[in-house]
Amino acid sequence: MAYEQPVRDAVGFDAAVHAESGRLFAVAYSILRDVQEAEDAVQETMEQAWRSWASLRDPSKQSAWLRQICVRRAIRSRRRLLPRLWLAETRNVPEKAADDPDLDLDRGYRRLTRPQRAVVTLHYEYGYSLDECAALIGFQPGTARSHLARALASLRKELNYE
Amino acid sequence: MSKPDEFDPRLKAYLHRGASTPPPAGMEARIIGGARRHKTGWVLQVVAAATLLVLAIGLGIAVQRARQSASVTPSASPVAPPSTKPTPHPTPTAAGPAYPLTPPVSLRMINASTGWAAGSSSDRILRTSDGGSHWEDVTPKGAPLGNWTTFFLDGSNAWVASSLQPASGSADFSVAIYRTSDGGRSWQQAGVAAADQGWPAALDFVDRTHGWLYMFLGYATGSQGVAFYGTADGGSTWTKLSEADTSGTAGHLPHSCSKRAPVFLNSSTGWIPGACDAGGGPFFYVTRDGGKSWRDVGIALPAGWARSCLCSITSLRFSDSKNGVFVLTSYLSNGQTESMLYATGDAGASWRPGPSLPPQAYEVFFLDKSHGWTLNAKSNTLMSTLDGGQYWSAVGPIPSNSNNGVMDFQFVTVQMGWALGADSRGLPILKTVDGGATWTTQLSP
Repeated sequence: MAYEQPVRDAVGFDAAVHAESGRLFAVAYSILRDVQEAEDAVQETMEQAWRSWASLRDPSKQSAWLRQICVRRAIRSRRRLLPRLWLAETRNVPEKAADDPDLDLDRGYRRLTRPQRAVVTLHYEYGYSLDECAALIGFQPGTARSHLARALASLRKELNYE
Repeated sequence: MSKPDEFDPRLKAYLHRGASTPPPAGMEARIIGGARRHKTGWVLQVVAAATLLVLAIGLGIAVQRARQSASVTPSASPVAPPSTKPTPHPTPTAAGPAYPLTPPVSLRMINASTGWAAGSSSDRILRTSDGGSHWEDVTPKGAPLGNWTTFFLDGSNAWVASSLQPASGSADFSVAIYRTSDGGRSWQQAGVAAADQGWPAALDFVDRTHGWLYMFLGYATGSQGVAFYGTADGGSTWTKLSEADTSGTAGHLPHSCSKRAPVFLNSSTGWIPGACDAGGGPFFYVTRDGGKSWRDVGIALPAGWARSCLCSITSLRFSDSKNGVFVLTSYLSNGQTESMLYATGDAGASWRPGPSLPPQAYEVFFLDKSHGWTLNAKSNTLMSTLDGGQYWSAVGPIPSNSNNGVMDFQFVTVQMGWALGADSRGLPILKTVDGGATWTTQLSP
């Protein structure tokens, strides 16, 4: 049987960007704490989604699928080699987010590894169980627990809670 | 010192502020435009980086030539003779190739001398035949890079499931199966599982012919799609056996609950452990027909545990054809956890709740029905038991990066075992020959 090349649904993709990009940015920023890097993670997520869009047959799975890609991109992304302005990209560079008022906690959080930040924010802010965090990120379940325990211990120590 | 009870609300408020940060203006338009055009920004970066590299190399050559022309003094550095001492392969040096064991990493030691290690993110497979002193790269050269899942049956037979999903953007969901029967010296593409969605999460074989490919189809909070493909000819042909759905039909796997990799005891019987959302209790399904149909085991919870507990099952493993264990962990409302060891001595026909695990212990490894180890995940302290988990004694810490944990541990004798540490650059392999009291690093980034 001949392989039928799927057709991309540009309208559906645009709708998904409108529906999901804000949420994806929120989870990416929660992990990365950098507006530029968070937008890059969302951009890369949606680029991948666009290339696979026709194969995403079940709309009910789009949201979870996009979030998984975005979280993994955020954890594994590397800082760009060169700043965008140097490359004279035509797009505008996003503004910097306002500093968090809790400077001590912000400093401690930024010292955590990205996987640790991901587990903390997915568990506490987004309500995922640790098993779900592990599945979402691609860890073994015990690893997610270990990351959370060490992240919390690090933050408590940083903030003089112990 | 700050008040301890202020920590959680302070952290949650901080996280909520972060998650409420609005996206920058114009992001949607940039995304839509960027997703549909070629990645010129990426190309420009590569070109620019390459240009800088060429300039740097040129500058280096110029400086070197200038030095050579300025001095005729012979180099004082002696030329080292060729070494005849074997070195670990791949040699982990800063200037060498990328460290092969980037997570997810699996380690499977078959016996005291032979074992395998695989780094899924780096698509590399290593094998040792001298107890881990040397690791040979036995990566199948022909397998496409992508999402790899491995299974190592014994010292000779191993399989790799290779998929372009979920990170490539390709519409190809098929899973290519590669097999070796000579310890990784040669690999052959055994067959292809014609999946139409998802990506491989686990492979499992109980002998050289009977195996299962476990596919993840996507997640949502409180649910997870999975599908099973089976082979009875060593991986040449694959048949779809079952897929989770929301029908509630007897024999079907439910779409709800998160599910872990299955564990098969023989060609007919296997289990899927997991966890359900709050109020759902543990997830534990069994098949008796090789993965075609599934039913809830309905394990008895420990006295005092509510059926609606937020609890999950981990460390499911059989040490022989009759004896196996798993850990049931309950997450309590006060943030504490409690873990209980379950054991079977009748090939999983019945599971009996046993003693509690020590605090902060979530996973176990049992060599037989008596000898086992568990790990305090906070302190990395290994504990051992000689009586099936009735009594645990601390053996010692497994050294690891101070801000990370121990990813895995396993033993082939009461004295000899291995552990996977944690490092942001890749996972080191550590070995003990005294039951876990002391550890030496065998391979590290």
